Amino acid sequence: MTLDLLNSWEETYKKGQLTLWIFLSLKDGDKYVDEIKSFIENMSNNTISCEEQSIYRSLRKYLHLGIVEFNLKEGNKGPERKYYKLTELGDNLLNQFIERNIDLFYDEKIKKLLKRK
Amino acid sequence: MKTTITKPLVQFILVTTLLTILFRISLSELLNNQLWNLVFIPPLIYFILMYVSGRFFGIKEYEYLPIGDIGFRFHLSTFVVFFTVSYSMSYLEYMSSSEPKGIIDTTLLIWGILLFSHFVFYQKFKRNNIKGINKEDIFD
Repeated sequence: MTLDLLNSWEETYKKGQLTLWIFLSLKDGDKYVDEIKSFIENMSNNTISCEEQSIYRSLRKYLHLGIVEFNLKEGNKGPERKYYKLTELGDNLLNQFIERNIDLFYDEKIKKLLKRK
Repeated sequence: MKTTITKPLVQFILVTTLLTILFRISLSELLNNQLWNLVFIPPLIYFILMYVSGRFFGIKEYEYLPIGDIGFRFHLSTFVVFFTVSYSMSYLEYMSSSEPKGIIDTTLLIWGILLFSHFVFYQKFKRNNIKGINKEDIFD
């Protein structure tokens, strides 16, 4: 039963995580879609898996809204690739999101509560 | 990609134009030949194909970029194409003489009211948009 509950909770929890992970991957440096996917999977210890299509779909929206932009650069082989990066708006957005939603996890009391027995 | 005239919308308009011409011709043919029992077929097929087409191109557009207009652009396009084709065929006298005079005007009036209601809902819905995308769809 615990495992079922945990899976159910994680499923809901992870649904909203993709944006944060995409933004973090771009804060780490300009990346094309494959690199964003690898970053997310590696840095999340494979707890977040994402389809390339989902990343493309999100990037198209962020591009339209001016949150990200891209430069065309030559790949190792084949055609030019779109290397995405956060715009000033995207950078501000991520910083404010972290300030309002992530920083609180660094509070000593919360840190203590997060520690497993 | 702009949020007003998109590639899927243009494709939808082309399909709608073709379907509307076929609908008008087949309806007029049946009326001219006085096949009264069969006149329900063209509108039924037209309705089904328009629904399928709208859904297909609507989903295609939504998957590319989820523009928050609750289908208003597709509705407006259908309205414009339908009456452009209908009035053109009427003007060119391609329509059956059995079709009551003024039927297109009546349809225009009733449909126009429905379209206006849709426009009002769209204007309300638009308040939740940021650059044409509904807030709930941005970070889904």
